[in-house]
Amino acid sequence: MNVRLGQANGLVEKQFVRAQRVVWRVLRDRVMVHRVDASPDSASTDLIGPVALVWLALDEPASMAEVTTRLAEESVEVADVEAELGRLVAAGLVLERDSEPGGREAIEPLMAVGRLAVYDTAVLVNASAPLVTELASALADLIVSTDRHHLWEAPGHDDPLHFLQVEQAGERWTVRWDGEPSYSGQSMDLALYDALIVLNQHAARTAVAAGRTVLHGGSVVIAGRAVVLVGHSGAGKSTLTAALARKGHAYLADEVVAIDGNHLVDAFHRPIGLRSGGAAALGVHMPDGPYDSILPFRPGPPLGDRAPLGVVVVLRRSETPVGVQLTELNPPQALIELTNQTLGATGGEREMFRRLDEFVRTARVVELIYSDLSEVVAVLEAAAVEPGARRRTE
Amino acid sequence: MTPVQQLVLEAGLPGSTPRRDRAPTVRDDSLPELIEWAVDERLTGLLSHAIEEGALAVESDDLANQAHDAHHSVLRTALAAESAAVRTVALLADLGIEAYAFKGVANAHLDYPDPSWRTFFDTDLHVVRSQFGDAIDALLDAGYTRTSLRLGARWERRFARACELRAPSGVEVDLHAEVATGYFGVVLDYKSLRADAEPIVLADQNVFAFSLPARALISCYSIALARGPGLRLQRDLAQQLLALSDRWREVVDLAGHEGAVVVAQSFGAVASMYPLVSFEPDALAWASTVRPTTNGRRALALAEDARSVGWSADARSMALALGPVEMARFGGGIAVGRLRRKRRSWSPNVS
Repeated sequence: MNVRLGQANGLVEKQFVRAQRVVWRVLRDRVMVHRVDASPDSASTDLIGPVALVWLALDEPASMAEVTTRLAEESVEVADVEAELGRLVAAGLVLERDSEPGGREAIEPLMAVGRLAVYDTAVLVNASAPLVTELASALADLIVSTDRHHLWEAPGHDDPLHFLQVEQAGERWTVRWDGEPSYSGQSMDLALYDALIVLNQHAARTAVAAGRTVLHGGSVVIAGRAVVLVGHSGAGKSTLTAALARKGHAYLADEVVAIDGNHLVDAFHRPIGLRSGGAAALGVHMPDGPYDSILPFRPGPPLGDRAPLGVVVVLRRSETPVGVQLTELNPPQALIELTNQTLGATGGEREMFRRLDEFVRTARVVELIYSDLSEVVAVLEAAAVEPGARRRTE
Repeated sequence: MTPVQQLVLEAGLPGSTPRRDRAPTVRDDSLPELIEWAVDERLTGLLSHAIEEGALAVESDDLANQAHDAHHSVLRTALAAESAAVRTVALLADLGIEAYAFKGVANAHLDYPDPSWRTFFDTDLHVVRSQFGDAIDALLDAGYTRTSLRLGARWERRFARACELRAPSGVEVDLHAEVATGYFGVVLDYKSLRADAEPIVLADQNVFAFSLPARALISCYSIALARGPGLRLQRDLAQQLLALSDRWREVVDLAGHEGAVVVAQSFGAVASMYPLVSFEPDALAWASTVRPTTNGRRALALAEDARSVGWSADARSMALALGPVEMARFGGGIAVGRLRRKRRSWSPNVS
């Protein structure tokens, strides 16, 4: 895993300094670090291997070049100093600051939110204090560990580890993914929103790289089969996903729905993004918090595991009363509809089309036009248990 | 004390350089007991070091790792306690209350070549008697909780030796107005004790600790008045005496006439515990000549009683240092406090 430190916007060369409010000890094969201000169960971290050596080399603030020199002077070999510094920065144990006077304000100490499982990857999330609670709450269904003792352990020994960091420096919020800035601005609300978007993007990239067909939509499990809801923005995908989940159907995913070649739908339990209209329709209170525009909504248990695909539903919302109209789509019609709802890697469009073409030949895709949310749920529940995938056509 | 335990106690001390070819081997079936002993006595750091430097051999790497894992686990608690020290000192400093770290956190950083060798489970801080009550109130306001009911607010401010609190993180924080139990704690010259405080930098914050002679004196009191074997305290004093070298008289000066007997007893105890270590011969010679004062002898006897009888013997020891008026207040406060305690249900923060 190669973490590159942010070098955007022509910023001056950075200095690195150990985070304040940290106590630590050297043990025979590791450095034990404890954050003074963190909650007891997330305060402690063990640094092992090259990253520990880089930490020890930071007894005084230093640039990357200076750290490399110090290590060389001690005859200590660290293959990729930049990557190790990046890990420490992403973990909030080391701070970056401009080496010139008058540089940007020091970053507020980062605290651990948790380690997430996103498909077969691990994502370590850290944030400055004002957003820790909100992020921890929003991402609770993806968090697999808050034990910083296991910070560097990925789910499987080959599984890559990534870093999502939401940092505050003075008035400015910056979201970084693997060290690269994604959002930088003065809105905590937008920083939170961007952090969730960045996570979606990672999930989509990972799923595409793993050969999945990736649709932009939501999914729940009804009668043992995944119902995938896609549609244009405002069609009600997330609202309906939340409505079905609240009815007791296992929540599977929102925003990113990954389907493998055997039509198994993966789980991605990110919070459902509800707009104010959707929240109102569901009777969900929009509490005070840094989410004026979109509420990260956790539907609660049950949470679904991988499930066989039942039906893909292309949603359209009508402004005029139309009841509920359900229409089966043939493969060409489905291909047209789903092209706009499919997420793929930039430069990988040909492969994306190939997968989608194969997908629509064997998956059941329907169009559902509705005007009243309350009438749709029952129709979807019935549609889910109708005969499954169409047979492959030559 | 078994030979293996003795080796652990001596690990890392000058004069105890291990001979790997003569290192005793700890049998598989006895290592768990040794680890348990080390955890109880806060000596896992020395055990881990003894294995690392070859003073002790173990039959398998797996078992060596068990010892190191035990130390790792204990050290994590020590870091939590250290964090609590940092936060507590900062909280009090914001209110103009100076707190001095002593025992575990102070000795680990100032007296050992490697602070990882010395572990601790709680934080001990001293504040001036006149600020003791305010310090307790401030910490309670900040979310700390008492671990036992106090007798009365005024009695506590005037007479309580220490107040045991629990920080929001769960760590025990002991706030001390006096650093020794009973008579000896009352008669100490605290102004001299606090002089020449040494800073420890923890989490980018200066935390002041007592000077080396003061730390050694506190170790002496802890050894003489402790209710357990106090093995780690004896190791603390050994480290401190080696660092003091010919400055050992500063410890005696701080103890004053009344406390000299405690210092002498402790010097003797440490010299017996560590026969291979060369302590200052003058110090040991002096220790053999010291005779206790009348109150000192009574206080030591009460300390011995306290090991079996408990708190009331400590109270009687304290009373040796009080005049008649203060004694009346002291005894009266205890009586009234006990009556109040019987009348209400237990609540840690009832004022």
